[in-house]
Amino acid sequence: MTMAVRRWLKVTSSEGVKLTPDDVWPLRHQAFRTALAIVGQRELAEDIVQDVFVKALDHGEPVRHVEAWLRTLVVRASLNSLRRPTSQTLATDVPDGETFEDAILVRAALEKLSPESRTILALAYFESLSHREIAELLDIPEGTVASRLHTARAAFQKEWNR
Amino acid sequence: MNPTHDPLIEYFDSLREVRLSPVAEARLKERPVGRFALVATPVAAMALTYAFLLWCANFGPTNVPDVGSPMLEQQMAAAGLLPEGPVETSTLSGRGV
Repeated sequence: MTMAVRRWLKVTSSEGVKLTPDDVWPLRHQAFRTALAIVGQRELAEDIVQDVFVKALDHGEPVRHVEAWLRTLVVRASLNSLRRPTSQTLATDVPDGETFEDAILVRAALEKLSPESRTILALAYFESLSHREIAELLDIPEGTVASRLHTARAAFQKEWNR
Repeated sequence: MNPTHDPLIEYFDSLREVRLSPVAEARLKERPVGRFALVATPVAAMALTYAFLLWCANFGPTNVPDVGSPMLEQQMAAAGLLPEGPVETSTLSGRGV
């Protein structure tokens, strides 16, 4: 059986589920929101979701918690994307469905922060993750999460008050 | 920051109903294959083309001897298709044998 055929067959086991498009397709909007919360640019967030979905479907190993696993992929891809110098541009587009009037101002302030600060704020505010969950996701100590979050909030406040 | 008017809370809350654009959704649906397939397909096509050209070089029509060539005369002589003995002018090559 070729990899392509296996990919399209759902094989369950005690260790998890081998992913098919049907597993990840319902999570597309959620993945997009997570990416958008971190990078703040619609086109970039869409590209990240595209890359992550391709990577997820190429993944041959069983996955136990598909949603959490996919979120980890999106968060790490978004963080890596922010670390690239080309993505540090001001986002002025307003995604469909966004209603907050000051969104552009908040995004402009967020874009002044470091990629790590932006990511940790999105995980804490948008994903509502605990310090422990953020620490596991970013593979950093829990104490580092607390200090980075404090620093990120202070940096945002400074930019916001300008 | 006043928690009731925290711009971060309001901003991130405003993203909860955001959806992928129809264009991005269509792109996502059209490309369920991995990058491997996207790279492997043109590479496989080039490999097949190269293999075909290699086959042509060895076994294809380019290796058939031209009419009038010494090789063809040798092959015809070996097959007994040419008259034995001296011939003044070869009708094939135009050269004296």
